[in-house]
Amino acid sequence: MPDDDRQQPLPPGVVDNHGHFEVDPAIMTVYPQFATDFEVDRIVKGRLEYLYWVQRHFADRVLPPHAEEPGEA
Amino acid sequence: MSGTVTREAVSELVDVCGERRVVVAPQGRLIRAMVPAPFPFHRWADEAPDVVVLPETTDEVVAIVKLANRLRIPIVPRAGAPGVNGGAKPMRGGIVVDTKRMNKVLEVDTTDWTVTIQPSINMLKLNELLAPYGVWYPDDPASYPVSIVSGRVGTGGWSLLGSRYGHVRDNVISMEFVLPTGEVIEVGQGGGRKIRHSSTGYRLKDLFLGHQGTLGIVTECTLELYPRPEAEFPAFFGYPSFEDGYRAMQPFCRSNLATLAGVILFDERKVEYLRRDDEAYIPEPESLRSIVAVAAYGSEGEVAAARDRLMRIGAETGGRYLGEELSELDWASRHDRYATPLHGRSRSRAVHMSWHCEDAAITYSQLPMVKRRWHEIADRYVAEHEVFDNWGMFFYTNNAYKGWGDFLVEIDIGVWEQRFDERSWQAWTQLKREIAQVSLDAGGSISACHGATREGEVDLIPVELKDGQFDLMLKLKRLLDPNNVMNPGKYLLDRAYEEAERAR
Repeated sequence: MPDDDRQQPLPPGVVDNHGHFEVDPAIMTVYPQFATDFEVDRIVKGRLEYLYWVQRHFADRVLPPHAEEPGEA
Repeated sequence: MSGTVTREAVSELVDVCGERRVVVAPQGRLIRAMVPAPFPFHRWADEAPDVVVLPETTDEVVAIVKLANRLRIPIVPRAGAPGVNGGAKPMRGGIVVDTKRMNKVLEVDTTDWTVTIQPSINMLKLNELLAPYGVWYPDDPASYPVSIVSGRVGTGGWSLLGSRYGHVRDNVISMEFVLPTGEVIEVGQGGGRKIRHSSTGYRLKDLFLGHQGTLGIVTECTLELYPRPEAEFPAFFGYPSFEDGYRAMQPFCRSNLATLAGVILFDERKVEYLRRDDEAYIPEPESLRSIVAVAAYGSEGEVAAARDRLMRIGAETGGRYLGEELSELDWASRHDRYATPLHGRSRSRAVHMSWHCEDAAITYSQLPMVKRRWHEIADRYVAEHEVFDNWGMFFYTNNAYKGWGDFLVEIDIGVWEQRFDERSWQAWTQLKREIAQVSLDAGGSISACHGATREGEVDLIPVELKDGQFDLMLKLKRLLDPNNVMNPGKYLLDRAYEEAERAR
């Protein structure tokens, strides 16, 4: 196949790093330095929700490390 | 290249699949040149396929393969491509056959307990579809939510739950397969599509599990089904040293529990890395330097009994139970390691890195030696190159349906891929070569899960498969793929044709 389609001009903010297109690092100079409590809470809750969702794909329930009632198992 | 994708060839592909399922746009081709394994970004454009096709039926796959064989065009099957070894990555351009649209469930047999599928269905989605029947397909790689059955066939992969439920080779009962010449065959255990064990003929099925796209394209699979587990019990135990954790592993692995699905040992460098760079790490005392994780699956009564024995073994071996939160959630995260954003250190500075892991199969007695030598190698390269970071080691049970014997040994290396240049890429391949040599020195195998097809380690394939095994691979490759069109360049299989040429 001809390489014409690889020779098109890059849009603003995109650089060609050895044939790999990436966002121009020059425009990424501001990094988030902190997250609010709300954001942290949301991230943690989202992660827990996801992990329990994954777990449910593998078994109906997870047993605790001890028998739940006297005489169980 | 052994062939050229001309406009006429693309036109023929459009005749087979239609215009919308033939991709020539650069973004569609470039993305299918890469895999999550450390990738030579500086050569990305050179490694892209010329065209991508997305067939939906066996007949379309046959037509594509026949075209490639007739025109001598390299052709590479690709599924989800989460493999960290690059089997799905074309080495000579050509046609990439992206099979992701072949994702239909053809039959759920609740009498003989099989499911027959077009093989490019994802395991998570398959299990969601199977759930109403109360059955389950247990293959569980670290890429569970994103990998695809046909890719698992291509790599012959390992499963986290293999000590309870077996690995891919144990749970694929039979397959429909398109050979490199376009011929369609059925392979299984003997003749019956749903027969699990047969003594008729050769065991040809195994030839097509782990072929890395070099022997054809799987177009249908019949898979084993299991009762969905009523319960699971994961438990993590902390130990003061690697040696303590290593010794504790044996009683867990030999616990005589049929529900034991897997045992994982973390070394001290792994714990150190998690403390250092894993935001989800649950703080533990500094005295904790090694972890043994275990998990049991099955009926609730059996898992409850296993739980009691595993907790007792943990206490008897001096382990400190690390709590329900860590045990449940860390175990759950092991079904999906690809969802974790990763960073590491370069000269003490935090940077985004890609994850690479080696995955040798090593016997228990050799684990300490391999650990020591792999860390020596990794540390030497980390000191010399800013693009690498040593993220420690895991040791997983590797034996199907039993927890003892050999282990999947993983060293995780952080790689700052976007800083790769030819010098660091060559260092990377040399690192892999040295790691693989240690595995062979230990009497092990280079790969327990991913396949050993990448630059560096692949050089040692003829060494591992000595005493005629590699020579037989070459003969089989040439027999089944006379024109070397199917994933050419992989596994050093070009030698099959070079030797034949010399003999002429």
